[in-house]
Amino acid sequence: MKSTRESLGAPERAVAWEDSLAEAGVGIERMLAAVRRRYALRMEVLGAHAPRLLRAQVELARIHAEELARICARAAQDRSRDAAETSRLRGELAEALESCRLDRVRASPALRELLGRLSSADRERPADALELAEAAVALRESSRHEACLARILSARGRERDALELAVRSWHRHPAPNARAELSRLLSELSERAGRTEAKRSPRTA
Amino acid sequence: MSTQRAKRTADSIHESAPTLDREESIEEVSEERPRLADESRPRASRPNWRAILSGASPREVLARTMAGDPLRLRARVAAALERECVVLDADRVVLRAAARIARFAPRYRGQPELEAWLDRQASDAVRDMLEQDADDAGTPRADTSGLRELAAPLGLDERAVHTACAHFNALAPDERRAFRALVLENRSLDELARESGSPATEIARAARRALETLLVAVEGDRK
Repeated sequence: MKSTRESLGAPERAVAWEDSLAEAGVGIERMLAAVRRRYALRMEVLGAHAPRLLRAQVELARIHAEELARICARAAQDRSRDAAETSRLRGELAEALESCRLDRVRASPALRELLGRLSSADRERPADALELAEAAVALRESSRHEACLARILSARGRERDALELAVRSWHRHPAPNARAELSRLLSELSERAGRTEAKRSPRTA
Repeated sequence: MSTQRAKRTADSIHESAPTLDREESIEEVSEERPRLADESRPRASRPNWRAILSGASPREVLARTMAGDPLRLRARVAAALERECVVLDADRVVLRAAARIARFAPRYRGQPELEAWLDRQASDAVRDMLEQDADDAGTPRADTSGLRELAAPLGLDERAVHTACAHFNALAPDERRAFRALVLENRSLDELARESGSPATEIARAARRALETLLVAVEGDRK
């Protein structure tokens, strides 16, 4: 994920979290990069397409990352605190982590710590929705995850950050179906920002 | 789209891969099925779906799935692309379907029927690719060799082809079907109207809308 430090003006804690996430490169992304490098090298040496198995392995690594991203995004959105839903989510997370372990896919310490908090019933330090949404975007830079993060930022009163993120996402994802969702988000955010601005500005007689 | 046409497309994609014959499809080699007297091949030479789908790790299952095409993924993906009427690099979808099957094999407990489950994985792989393309539109992927190979000999810009495909895939299903039948497959309007039961003018309008969307998208991309 592109650093949001400059553009979002996030508070220190969020910056620290983001730095640790970015610094670690989210292990999975590193593994993907390593596989891509091997893929490119073979392409050069053989002058042909990389073996299909290697390309399928890249796809599998991508699915591992996407699964974790999907779970993080769902947990970030889940405000129901429904016990059955929480239990289902933890079951899915345990299965996803086990699958990563079997394939020797490693997550960064920051991500591991966050997923650890999500998978356990740690009431003192539950996984925060904003952290989860940021992790989802870091794992899979999709318009859907970015929209989820923007909505959470907006709900926390960071309308400006949310709008900036949504606008960046709009420019990055030009496909019509991605933009349909982003259009809805942008109008939602503009409306909310307008309302907030109206409340803040001094009333004129 | 006629069933015969779908079968032809599936077969043409399928024929190059070393796979099981129709008589040896995975469902039929299941150990529960009583063996017929005229089955002469030794049991060990026949792949069994349990042997293919179970493994110590998803990577192991993937390696097994990718050795030849024991699960007939090419045919399943071809059928899924035909069903959804979308334009994608079929090889990318096959790899994605294989990776999906490897990843989600531990969740499979025999329900639904294996054939239906595998078809579902192929359809989900198509959906995944559409999502990926929607997110990456405008930036051609490094592994879209299929598009590059299609675009270069025709003198087309790879990026424009990528954009056009993403826009085509985002069209309404009736527009995609009408455009493909009339423009890409050069079928007659009367034949389509007869086959679908829809008025010819409606089909023609849908194809026209699709064409306009594509032209606007490609033109916008050039600017």
